[in-house]
Amino acid sequence: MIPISLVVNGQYFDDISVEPDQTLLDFLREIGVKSVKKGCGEGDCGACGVIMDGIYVKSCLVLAGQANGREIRTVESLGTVEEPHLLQTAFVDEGAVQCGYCIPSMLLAAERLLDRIPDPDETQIREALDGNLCRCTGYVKQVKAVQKAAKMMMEDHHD
Amino acid sequence: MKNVEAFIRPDTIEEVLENMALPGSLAVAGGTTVALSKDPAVLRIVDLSGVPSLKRIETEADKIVLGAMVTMTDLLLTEAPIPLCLRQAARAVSSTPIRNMVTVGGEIARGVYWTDLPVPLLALDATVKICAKGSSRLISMRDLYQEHPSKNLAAGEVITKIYIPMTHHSSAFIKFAKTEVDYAMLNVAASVHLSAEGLIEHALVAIGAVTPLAQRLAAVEEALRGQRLSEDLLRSVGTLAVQGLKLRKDFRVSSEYQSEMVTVHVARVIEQAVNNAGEQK
Ligand SMILES: Cc1cc2nc3c(=O)[nH]c(=O)nc-3n(C[C@H](O)[C@H](O)[C@H](O)COP(=O)(O)OP(=O)(O)OC[C@H]3O[C@@H](n4cnc5c(N)ncnc54)[C@H](O)[C@@H]3O)c2cc1C
Ligand code: FES
Ligand code: FES
Repeated sequence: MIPISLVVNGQYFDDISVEPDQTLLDFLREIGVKSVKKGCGEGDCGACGVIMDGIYVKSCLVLAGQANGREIRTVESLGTVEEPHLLQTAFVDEGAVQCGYCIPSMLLAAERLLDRIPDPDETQIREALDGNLCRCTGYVKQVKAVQKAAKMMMEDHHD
Repeated sequence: MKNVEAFIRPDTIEEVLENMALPGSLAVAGGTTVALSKDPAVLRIVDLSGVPSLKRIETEADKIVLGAMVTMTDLLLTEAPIPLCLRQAARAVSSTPIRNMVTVGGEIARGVYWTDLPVPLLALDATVKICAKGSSRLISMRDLYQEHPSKNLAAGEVITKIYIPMTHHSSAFIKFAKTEVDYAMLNVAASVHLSAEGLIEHALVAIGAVTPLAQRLAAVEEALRGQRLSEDLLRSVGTLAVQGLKLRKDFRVSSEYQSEMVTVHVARVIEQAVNNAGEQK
């Protein structure tokens, strides 16, 4: 067993033992972070997306041992049902969510994009959401939702 | 990875090499293949991501220096004047989250037949710096790719830097795949140096995915020397490219189709490289 310490959504986990071949994805689900999903387990579907030290990555391609000393954020860090993040509000408003399986990753990918480019064009949005497969929506509404969120966030910023 | 006893993330290259010298050590870069590996012989994982110098892109007078841990996303976002074919190849690697992880060093060391980045690196005549505890050497991409790079990397050796000469830099890269995120059926890159009169003084052309390993197309390069771009020239080098090329068997396409792809895309990439002159440094 390998001891690791890391921060997940602001919570410190100290000296937790993980299997050497355990992925960050499996570790997160084990500690109760169920928004990350194992759609494929080999880097194709994107359902396992997390933000690691500020970078959007696929947690099925990270070994838990590699995450030692790092900061992980999942959709749980964005907003709550009572106080949703503007991206979450926009996704709901635009009808961009159907079954919801892909949405946590979509939101994280979008959050990283808007952090870098507050006013992205459609190509930039599509490129940022790329790698997250959605079997329900056809992506159009998700692109619209990110556009809407960008607008709301910029207005919010100016207030 | 069942038998791994330790994960180490040193912050200096010396410490990396020290640890890599121990038996059973495996370097992890972006981790995109390492995480899925089941190799029982690995006892120690040495994460290269803690060494700041490996993440740098530096511009020198006559060359660009890429740290081995530069990611595909870094290549896309950098303001350094990197050759166009390198950016195009970085963009061709899968999707954003994968590009956020995959590194230049990992692409070179992994070198599967369809791997995209080695192709422009060959066409740019890049040189790779490889270090081990107490030693270091420089090797051209071309020599490194004479056989699978894993055979040319001894135990304990780590790719640290990639040097790209800035001498002939009008370039282009094309990936041919079924979908944007699929593995290449063919990838090809060319870099050319044009004379003031618009003649091709010097051209480097490399191809991958249709062959077991990415390789240069020496006969095509020779045929382009001193020539002016024309339809006839492109047609003849396209045909020349297939001759003598040992195609790999591909369950997705027939060898006739592969040959046709080579003819078309070699001509196309050369045309694009020449036409890109002026648009890039
Ligand atoms: C779903 C998916 C799709 C992909 N699609 C493409 C694609 O279309 N085109 C493409 O080109 N690639 C693609 N890749 C990436 C490619 O398959 C490899 O995973 C990638 O090149 C490995 O890079 P890495 O930085 O993650 O290396 P790692 O996985 O960390 O390492 C790979 C190997 O190289 C060794 N290594 C890494 N860095 C060094 C170094 N500096 N010195 C010595 N040895 C080193 C490691 O020990 C290991 O053996 C894809 C990957 C995935 C998961
Ligand atoms: S589980 Fe599908 S990409 Fe990670
Ligand atoms: S909403 Fe169902 S997979 Fe995207």
